[in-house]
Amino acid sequence: MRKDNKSRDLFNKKMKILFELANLEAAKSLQNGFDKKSNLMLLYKEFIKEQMG
Amino acid sequence: MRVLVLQLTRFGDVLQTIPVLSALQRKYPNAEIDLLARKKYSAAAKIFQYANVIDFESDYFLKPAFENDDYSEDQFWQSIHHLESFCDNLAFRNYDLILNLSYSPMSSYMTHYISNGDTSRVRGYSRHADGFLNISDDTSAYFYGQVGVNRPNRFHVIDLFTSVVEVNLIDEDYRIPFVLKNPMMHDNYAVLHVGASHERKRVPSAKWNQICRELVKNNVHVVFIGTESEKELIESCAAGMNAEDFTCLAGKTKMEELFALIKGASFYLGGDSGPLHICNFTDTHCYNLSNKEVNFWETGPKSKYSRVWYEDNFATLDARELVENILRDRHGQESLFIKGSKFSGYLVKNEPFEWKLILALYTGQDFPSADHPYIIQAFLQLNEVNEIILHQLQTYRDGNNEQYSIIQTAEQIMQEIARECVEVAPLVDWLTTEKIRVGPTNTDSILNQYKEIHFKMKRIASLYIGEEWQKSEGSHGQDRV
Repeated sequence: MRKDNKSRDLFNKKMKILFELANLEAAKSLQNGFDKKSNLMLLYKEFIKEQMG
Repeated sequence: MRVLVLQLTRFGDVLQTIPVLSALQRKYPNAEIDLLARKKYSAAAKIFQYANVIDFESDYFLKPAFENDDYSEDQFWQSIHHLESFCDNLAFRNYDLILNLSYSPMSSYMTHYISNGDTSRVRGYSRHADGFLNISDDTSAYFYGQVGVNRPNRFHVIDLFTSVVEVNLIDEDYRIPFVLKNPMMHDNYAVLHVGASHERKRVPSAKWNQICRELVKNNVHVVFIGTESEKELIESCAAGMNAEDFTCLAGKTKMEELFALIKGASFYLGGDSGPLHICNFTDTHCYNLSNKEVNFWETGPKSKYSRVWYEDNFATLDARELVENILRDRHGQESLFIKGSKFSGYLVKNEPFEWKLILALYTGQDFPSADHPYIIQAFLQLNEVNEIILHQLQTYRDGNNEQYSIIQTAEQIMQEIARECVEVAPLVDWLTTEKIRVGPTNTDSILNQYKEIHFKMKRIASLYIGEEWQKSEGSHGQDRV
């Protein structure tokens, strides 16, 4: 059980980092207008959000 | 012709998409139909073979970032690259029609990417050229505005899917095209799924235990189904039961066996979870244990002898009463019938004002009469706020932040009125959705489209506050929007 909790914690921690990164990259790419790259970043951000949920 | 259907939600939604795929195949017999579904939930779609199933595999996109305990930015970009290649491969297939039945933000970005922004090929959620949500068809707009928990929608999700895809279902679309081999030898058994996607949708284990004991008392063998991870939960539901009174098949059944198992059962009992929707195909007598966390109208089983047992709070569920009802009701009424603490004797025909308002707004039925003064009052308030917005739109000067702020505040007030008086919420939700649907264009065009929407709002509100000009405009029935 302890091992499970530990791996879940690590998973959550990594997910949060990924989410923050995707968020940051999406915001950066949106500065130049909504294009293929920002669409991809927002898609990834929503994907991560879904995995976290 | 190439068609892509996106169904990126869970098992239950995939099951509810299957009859739609069958109808789609009938409509376009020569089309190549692909279904994009999450790998975890796509098994059911694969055995029906109405579409070539493309697995959307979370692990594939996440793996690079999870290979090592330590984090590096390279891993992040590798994940992004995987996602990009996956979407590019789909975009290269150049689909003639893309049907997004997922209704999630993620799927909207994905649809935009795969369609290269060409919305003429899309139904369901996508994105505009400026990144805003693009709701291309009326049914999806209805989905956005009216579907969900704590909303008055009574249209079933399957019916909404068929409307988006523009097909009609026939009985044949629910046929099972594979051989059913039932692994159970018992004559009289009930299939129970005690798990749910969310804890709050789930009947507590202690209550399941009471239900199981009542079933056994009535000589019904209990068969638990579920995933491997639900075994622990099942153990707590079956605590203290004799081993010969139940069978736990969690994690042991293939998809085909699950269909056979439910088909052979005396009845199915479970919350609003995936396996419930198998009953639609097997016509199994089915009890959906529902609470306020789900809108049972949208997902409740469509099988012939289905029932919804509603409880505000599962803790008050009376196990004996439930089991007595199930055993008495078998092969009773054919239509969906709702029972339980809130709906004792409640029939489908008992329709509240807000549902009738939805029917008037979206299907052209007559607008319902408001029997309570507080509803009239809410329409009066909405009309006043609507007038403020209309005035601002008519006098709007580009870049005027003060006017923009007034409009925003007025929109928030409308939401507050809808929260206070749920009867008028469908109208406010309709208005909000229609405004979201206005795509990127020049200011004049946006203003004109907004004004048109608010004028429609005015006409509807006036039906309830008796404005003279409306009387000369025509009858209620013509106020379809």
